[in-house]
Amino acid sequence: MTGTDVTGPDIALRSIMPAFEGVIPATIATASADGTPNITYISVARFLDEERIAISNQFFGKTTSNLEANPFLAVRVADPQTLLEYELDATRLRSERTGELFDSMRVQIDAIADQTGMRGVFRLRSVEVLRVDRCQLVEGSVGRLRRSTSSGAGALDGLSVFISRLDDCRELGELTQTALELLDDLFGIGSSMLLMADHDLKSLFVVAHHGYAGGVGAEIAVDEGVIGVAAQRRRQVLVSHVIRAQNLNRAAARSRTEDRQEIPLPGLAGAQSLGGSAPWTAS
Amino acid sequence: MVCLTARTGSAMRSNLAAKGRIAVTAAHPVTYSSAQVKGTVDVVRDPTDDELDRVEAHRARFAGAAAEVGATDAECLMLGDLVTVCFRADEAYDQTPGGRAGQALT
Repeated sequence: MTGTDVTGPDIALRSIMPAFEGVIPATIATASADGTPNITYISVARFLDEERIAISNQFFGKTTSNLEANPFLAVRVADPQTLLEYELDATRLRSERTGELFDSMRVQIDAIADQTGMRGVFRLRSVEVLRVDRCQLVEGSVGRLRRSTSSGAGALDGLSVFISRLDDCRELGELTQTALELLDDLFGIGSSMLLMADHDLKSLFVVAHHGYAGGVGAEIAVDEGVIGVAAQRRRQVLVSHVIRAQNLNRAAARSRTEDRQEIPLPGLAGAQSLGGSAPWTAS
Repeated sequence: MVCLTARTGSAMRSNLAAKGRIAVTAAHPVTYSSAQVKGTVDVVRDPTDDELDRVEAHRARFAGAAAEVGATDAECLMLGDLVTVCFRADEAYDQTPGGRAGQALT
């Protein structure tokens, strides 16, 4: 943890954007007034600008009370491509329960919850806006080489070809299908679909698809699943890691029932948790 | 007792050497069952050969479980200098996402 004597991150937050995609769960560490630490996982950590990030609060208890007493905290994120870990020393600026930022994070959580049949289980309580005082590579973080990605110049060239090819299309069906195929050929987006709303905005229909088995004409209700919720709220929804999102929601659902899995925590007296029987990750 | 990655000379080593309060959280990468234990640091030392063997076995199990959810090379997250930390645990909490998060485990 740091105080306010550190100004500006050491590593530019913009340079570690993949670490905010949510593929590897981020953690937040806070401390109470007497210095007792608390550490927990974060569902969504979002880059706002070079000095600020936002995190979702769905189940925070001790974290919230700690931040009220002590606004200094640490967030650890990991780049899913390089597996390098970064520690962000930060200060809590404010808590938001309404507004554009809150709504945009809530729709993402609502959409994933709806997709997994957990509507109402995952409720966004607040968005915590944090000022990042320092961003550093975790000491000893090993990682692996980043996979190559297309350069900005390559993307612009691709966009030029994309527009040119669409300009050659002469009817709507050809245009939509060509567009989706070009997304694959030029930008590596292998699965895509284009949907249009019916006249009373109750349903969406697939008018073109690429990389999916489903056919044209498939229907989804507005407000149903990730696509439906995104359409209903008219907002973008990003699901970085579908399996992780589903498992997270299932864990929350189990937590509500009596037959949930028991946590195999060793007895507190002389606890020996080193290399236990389950493949847990510790922080 | 836990075995952690903490480079010699790092801030984490300094914090551990102060033998203050510690919080350790652990989550299953597939089920997200999670727990947090809090206590006071008692002993900080280099791992024994037996402990290193157990860490290696754990790393392999973790990588296998992470692969189930599409994360490859996850063992890279656990590389680095290791330190064994013995602490007197006096609090434990369920941290599985959901309504029970934060409840004391007995």
